[in-house]
Amino acid sequence: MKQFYPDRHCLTTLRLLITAIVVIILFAVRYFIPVDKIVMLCIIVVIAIACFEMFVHLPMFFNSISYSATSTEVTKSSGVFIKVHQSVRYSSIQYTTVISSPFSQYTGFNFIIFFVYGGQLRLLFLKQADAQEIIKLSGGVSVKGDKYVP
Amino acid sequence: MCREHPLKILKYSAKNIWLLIFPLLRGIYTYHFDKNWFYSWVQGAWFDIAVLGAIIIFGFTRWAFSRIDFTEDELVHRDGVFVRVNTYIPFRNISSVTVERPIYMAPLGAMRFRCDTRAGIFKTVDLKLLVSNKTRRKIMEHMIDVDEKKKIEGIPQPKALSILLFSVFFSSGFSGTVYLATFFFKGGDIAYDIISRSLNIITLETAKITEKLVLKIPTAAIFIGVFFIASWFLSFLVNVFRYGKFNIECDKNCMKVGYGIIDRKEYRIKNSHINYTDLRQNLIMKLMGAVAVDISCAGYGSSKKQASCAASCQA
Repeated sequence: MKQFYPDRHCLTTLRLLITAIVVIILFAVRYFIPVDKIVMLCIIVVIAIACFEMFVHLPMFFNSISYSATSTEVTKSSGVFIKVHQSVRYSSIQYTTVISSPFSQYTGFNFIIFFVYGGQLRLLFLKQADAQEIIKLSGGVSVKGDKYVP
Repeated sequence: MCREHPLKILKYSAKNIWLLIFPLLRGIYTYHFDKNWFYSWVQGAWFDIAVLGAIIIFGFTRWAFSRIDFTEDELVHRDGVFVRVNTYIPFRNISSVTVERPIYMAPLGAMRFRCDTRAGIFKTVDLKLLVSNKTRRKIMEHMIDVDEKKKIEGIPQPKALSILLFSVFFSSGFSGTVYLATFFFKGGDIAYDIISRSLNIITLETAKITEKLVLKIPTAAIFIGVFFIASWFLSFLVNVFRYGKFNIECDKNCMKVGYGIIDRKEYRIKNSHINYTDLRQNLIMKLMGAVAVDISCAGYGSSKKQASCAASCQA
């Protein structure tokens, strides 16, 4: 059995994305709302939510995620407040979707979705090498050396 | 490697891109057609044209990056410009394949292709593509098909009369009303105007007839009667066009079903993936020697526009 953990680069990327979104929201608030008190309130609320997400929830969420793969099945454990353990046999996989962003080796945006009878298992924020290994173990994708398989 | 039909560019561009036609037409209409009209129109509408161009370029780029590949074992669909979404569907897991040829796409040679596996919870399609006939042929080469040599002979094919009878028995005023309601909702004010004008004419004509025949039938009753007859007739027409040219072929592994006069639909279903078949016969059908066969299989009827069952009747 092999354990896999999410790519920590992804946490940094998400923090940068959240910061960019917050800046855009704050500019929009300043531009469209003429009342200073409401603007101040919006700024405080948005920054508080962003800080909570970036420095409390996301790190806890990333710490909670782990994947374990054997030769027959893959198990995902996740959840900050409610723990979820999902397990899927490779033999029940019907088809596979692989999602990757540009420079995914640096951003950590590699996702694998296994579609199985009655549902799906999403493996999120994987390292490129880990994603490759899980795909190889699952046998869900037969394409050898496909440049699009991370 | 294949691509989807270029018509998909429009879908990728935006769902409601056609709405931009109206401001465009209005713009053209308001400008005076002098010798410099085009120049002056472009001067005023350059921003709108730029936005429209950007939308189409975005659609074109998405289309150019969307590709269909085949390996020995899989159908691979690649989508997305920056974030690449690659879907790998093994041929062995495909339960059903659907090819739909809507009449309005026929001049452009486009058709809808859907394939489904037994995965998922909801009635959603696993892979939906808009393809040309050439691409469809290439895809279908890899899909399960009825072996002509091992085909089961003697499967009764419904005749035109059977389809007519089937449409008569299965048409109802209620479903016709649903079609009318859909038409109202989708067509909006134009449909409302046309239908209300027609109903007014019918009411006036029927009033004249009742006057001549000295019948005292209330207008409301005539209106309801005409409405239900029209609804039933509409439902009947929909059924005839939907189930016309019904044919079924079968071998040990695969079932091929095709139906539809205007919008032709073809299904290939893997027999081993059929969950159950349900034979239904009401009293009238029993008298007429007809039977409806419902097939439950992943993907068969998963689109809201598809029939949830294939009905084969035998008069």
